[in-house]
Amino acid sequence: MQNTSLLSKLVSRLPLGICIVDQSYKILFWNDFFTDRLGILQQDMSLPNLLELFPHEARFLKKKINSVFVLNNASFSYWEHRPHVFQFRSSRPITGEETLMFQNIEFFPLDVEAQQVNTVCMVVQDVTELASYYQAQKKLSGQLEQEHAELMKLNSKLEAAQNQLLQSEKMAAIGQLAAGVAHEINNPVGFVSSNLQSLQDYNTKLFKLVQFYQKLFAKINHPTYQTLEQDMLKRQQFAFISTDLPELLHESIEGLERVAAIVKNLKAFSHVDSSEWQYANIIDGLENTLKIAANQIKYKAEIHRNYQPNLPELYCQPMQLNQVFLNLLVNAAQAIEDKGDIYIDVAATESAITIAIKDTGVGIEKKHLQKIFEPFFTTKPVGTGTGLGLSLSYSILQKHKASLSVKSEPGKGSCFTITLPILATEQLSESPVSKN
Amino acid sequence: MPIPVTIADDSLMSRKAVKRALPPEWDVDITEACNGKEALLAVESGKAEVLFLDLTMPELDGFGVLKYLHEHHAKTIVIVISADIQPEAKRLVDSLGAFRFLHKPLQAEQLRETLFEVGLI
Amino acid sequence: MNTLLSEDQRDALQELMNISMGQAANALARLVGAKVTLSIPRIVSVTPLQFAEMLNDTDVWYTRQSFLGHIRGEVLTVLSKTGCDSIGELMDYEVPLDHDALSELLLELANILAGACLSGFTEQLALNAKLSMPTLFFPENQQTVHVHWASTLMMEVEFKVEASQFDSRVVICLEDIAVDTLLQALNRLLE
Ligand SMILES: Nc1ncnc2c1ncn2[C@@H]1O[C@H](COP(=O)(O)OP(=O)(O)OP(=O)(O)O)[C@@H](O)[C@H]1O
Ligand SMILES: [Mg+2]
Repeated sequence: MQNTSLLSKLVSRLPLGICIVDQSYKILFWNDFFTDRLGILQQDMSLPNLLELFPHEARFLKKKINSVFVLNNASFSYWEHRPHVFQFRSSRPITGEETLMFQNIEFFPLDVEAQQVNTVCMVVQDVTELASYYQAQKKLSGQLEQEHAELMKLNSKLEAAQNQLLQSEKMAAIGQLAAGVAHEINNPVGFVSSNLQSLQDYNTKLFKLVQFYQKLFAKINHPTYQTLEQDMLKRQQFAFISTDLPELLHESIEGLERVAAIVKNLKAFSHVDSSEWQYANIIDGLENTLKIAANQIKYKAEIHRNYQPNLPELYCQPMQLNQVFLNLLVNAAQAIEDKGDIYIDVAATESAITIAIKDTGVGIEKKHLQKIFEPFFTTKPVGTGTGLGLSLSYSILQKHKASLSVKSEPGKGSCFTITLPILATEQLSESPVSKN
Repeated sequence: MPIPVTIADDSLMSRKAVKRALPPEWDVDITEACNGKEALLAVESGKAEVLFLDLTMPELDGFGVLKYLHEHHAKTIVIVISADIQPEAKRLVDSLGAFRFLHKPLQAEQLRETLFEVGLI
Repeated sequence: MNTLLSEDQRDALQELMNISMGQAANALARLVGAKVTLSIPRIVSVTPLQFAEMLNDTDVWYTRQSFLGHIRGEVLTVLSKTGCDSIGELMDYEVPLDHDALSELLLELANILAGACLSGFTEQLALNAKLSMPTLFFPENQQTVHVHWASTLMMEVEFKVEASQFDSRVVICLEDIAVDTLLQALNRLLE
């Protein structure tokens, strides 16, 4: 007796909703959790039908309870999916933001006889606190995630910028080096060249002199001296020297001219302000670049030019574009394993100039096509490629609002196509420079 | 004279369960079979007036046994004791002429009731 | 180690699983109104590493729920991602399922299968174990280094719902001490 009254006190005080129904959903028992919230006095009322009392979720309740009756197995309802099966007011009417109570519900067979379920019990747990905490956390983590994504985006932008910077620094350094070297070489080349010119001059004079003496000697016609002369000429290999010496001089002068040309190219390439915007001829740029790259190309590939005549001049950063051409040409040459061809096509429409550089090299695997423009992507052995060539080219072309596309067939070759729009100067110039 | 009875089930435990559930006063001569083939052998050699048959067995399953018996030995009384208790299985078993479809785990009272209905006890 | 079980114990366990899974399949079949086919139960003892490998599949959902009583452990239910919509339709959900409806469906399916499997199993052994509510389980967020066990006895069976692409596995994992209780109960049954 004592125990039952204790038990009923306990059940009425439990912070859980307890409700027992029979097969026709008639409520057999419920505790104060329900009646308090419905504003009913326990003893006031004959016990109602669950579905009639909660018509809102009747369909769901019916389904759940039926499944327990049929399967003799507990079933659950979660606040995440169905927050307010019983539309009770929030347990925090004053301080909380929620208006309705969040609840987890367990439905389980209570009274089972020979596998037959007679009654089903529902236990309702108020999880408003938990739910709102969870939701706040979720919102927070959503925010964090978003911020994180933004940071990541910023980060990768920064990285790209840094790469670009690194690369342009590298190019600038090379440029300066080249300019310095060119300057240093220029002087000695200058005096060696003028000395050679003089040598050639003197040489002609000396030969003239020797010829003169020989004629004079012949006039004397003295056998002893003539034998002596012939011996001397033979021993000193005069005949050979007289043909070889001019050739040597000629070759040296030619070689020196080539050195001078290379120096000139280097100077042109490493133009002091390489990012200067100006009107320039694309063909000139290509040809300059070809000269620079001649050594890397000439043993590998034959160049086939197909330039449309009378191309308009383009407002651009010529030295930067040369950089792009150089990258593409060197890549093309490197892709050729033994010997092959490189085709350079340049054509223009009203609105754009297209430059296609096509090679008969190894081609690019399909899975790599996406990646080749990424910085540091390279398939070349360590030390050969840095993997920056294409990414740098790409960013240079971006500044020109130009596009770079690639078609490739593994084993057959690749074709890189640049489309440079012909734009008015103001469309290209970068963000306005502040007038200080 | 004892009645020849065969229990066909690949599980030793389930065969034991059937043996344990048989009424002690029932005078039987029990043969055990571990698969469908052994069950058919027992039937062929007259050891199975009554056959307790499991459905999922190696070599030849319960349905195979039923099919064969349905065509050749309609006299054998087959009581299926199955873990597969879906309506589909029962329908198939009924159509193949089994006498009863009992669910595992086997309830001794149910078995007794069934035997009584067949008139075996 | 599978030598953990004697031949008779293995046979008995397998048959118990067969029976309880049969009940689970029947429950599911009644619920979805379609035939359910069962695989032969697999009973193995696994190490944490093998267990982690089992959780590597990205084509499935996982749920977990623990049970407490004479024996304790966890039931994992592995549900294929394909076929969820058609099962949902059979179970009177609105399709296509949105995120919440999908979780609700998965948890309900898992609960029915796990509940039927476990209760069938424990009843036959005259043991009791009460299942807690299932939750979705995302093993990729889990670090396997922190497990506190060396091996667990795992009983696994596969359900396929004919007429939809859906299939599902229920894996009952027992705690170490529970294995002893289980073996004792098995021996009682075998006497
Ligand atoms: N014409 C081409 N034929 C075949 N593969 C190419 C061609 N051009 C580029 N690639 C592929 O793209 C990769 C990236 O090229 P990229 O120019 O960016 O770097 P790299 O040539 O490897 O190194 P770097 O240019 O810094 O010396 C190359 O490693 C190569 O695999
Ligand atoms: Mg390159």
